[in-house]
Amino acid sequence: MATIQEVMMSLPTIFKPEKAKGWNRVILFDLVGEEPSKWTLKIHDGVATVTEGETESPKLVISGNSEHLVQMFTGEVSPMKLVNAKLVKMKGPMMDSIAFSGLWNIPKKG
Amino acid sequence: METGIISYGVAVPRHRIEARVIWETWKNMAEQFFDLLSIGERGVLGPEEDTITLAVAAAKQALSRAGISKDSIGALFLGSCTSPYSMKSAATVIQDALGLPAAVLTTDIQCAEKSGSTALLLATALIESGQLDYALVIAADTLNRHTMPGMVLEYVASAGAVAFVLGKGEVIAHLERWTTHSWDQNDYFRLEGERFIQPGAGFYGWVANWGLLDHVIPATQAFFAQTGFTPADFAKFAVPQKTGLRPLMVMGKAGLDMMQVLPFVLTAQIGDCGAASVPLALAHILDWADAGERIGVIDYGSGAGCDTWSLVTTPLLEERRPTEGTVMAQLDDKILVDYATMLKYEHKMLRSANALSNFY
Repeated sequence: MATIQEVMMSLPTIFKPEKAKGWNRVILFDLVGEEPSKWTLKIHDGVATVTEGETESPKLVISGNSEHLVQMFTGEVSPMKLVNAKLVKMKGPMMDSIAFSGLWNIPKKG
Repeated sequence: METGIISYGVAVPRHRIEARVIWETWKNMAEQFFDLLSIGERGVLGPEEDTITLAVAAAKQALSRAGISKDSIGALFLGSCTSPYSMKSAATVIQDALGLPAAVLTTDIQCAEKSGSTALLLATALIESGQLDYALVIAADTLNRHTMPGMVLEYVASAGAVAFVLGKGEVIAHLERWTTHSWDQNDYFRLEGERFIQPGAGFYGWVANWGLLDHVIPATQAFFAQTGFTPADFAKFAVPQKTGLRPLMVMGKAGLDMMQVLPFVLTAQIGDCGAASVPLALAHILDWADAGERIGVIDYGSGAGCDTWSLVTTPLLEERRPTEGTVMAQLDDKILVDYATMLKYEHKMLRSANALSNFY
């Protein structure tokens, strides 16, 4: 299984910039579990950048176990399943949570 | 149509208040509704701001981007449901403030929160029929000044203005087709002589959205039926966004894809700007759109009707794309205020409207 660092650093490569034009947001991943860590994802002018730690004030906070985030972005488990089971939680405007889910080319495995 | 948008301009109040700050005073809504309804911040009028000043600011930006002489403007329509005047045209005050010629056809147009769309469609008809070369259409509202403290609408009631210079020739987007659906339904209203808006059907819950759905669905279904377009023919949509729930409802009922809609919903950042709300989303889309994109606009006026229309961007859009004063830049430029300051600025204290210091 990939590490959370590998997954977080891969986010800009699976990001769909054409879907995010005009959607500038700061998103914090606040993770516990096997690899407790914080990651700040900044989407600005259609560009996604990831930095370790909480580097900016977020509008959307995504929390859960790091292994579930790995499963989500590698396509092992669908995001909907994880959110419905409350294994991954999103805190922030519901519209942002929904829009966030449409920004990624996640491989379909599960 | 040959007629289209030559330029646009935007103005929103620089002062903002966080919904949670309002909640600290009233505690009149369950806290989890903020995320469910995507409520975050809303605009607060400065003491000197009103529908006219916001409209003038937006119009100045639109005129400066248009590259045409002010003297060639043939009509100025203000779409608003919060004109400072019950009698007298606010559009005429704006015309004078902008220094437009006296021969300009000026009028206010009121059809609840879709006043701006309706004004734009009327001006388009005058240009398309050859009676005018150019028109200035402004959608502007100050719902916040007309919302009673303690009312749940207070969490989103905001203000803003969006101006469009319309004409033929060098347009950044051609207007295409439109449909409308109007009938009397119970939703937000304000009676003659009353300052504050009243809710006909409440703020949340499915009853609160009867008016929205009873207008948006038939207007949009008629639009698709008459034009033969399908949602897949559109790159983006500007839709009603009083709360974040409404875009989701419109999206679901009209069969739109979430990424056609959600990136252009500004509720969490600025609240409900009334007649300027959907035009603000449209301006945000135009700030980012590529040439050749078809954009849909679904504009609902509380209990009054819905205009659904479309436009197609041209290569000029990319040449003339604003580099400053964009919607995002204006939303990011803000001063957060507390509840008491908001009450003072929006003239809700029991003092005369201009008494902001001890010297009066």
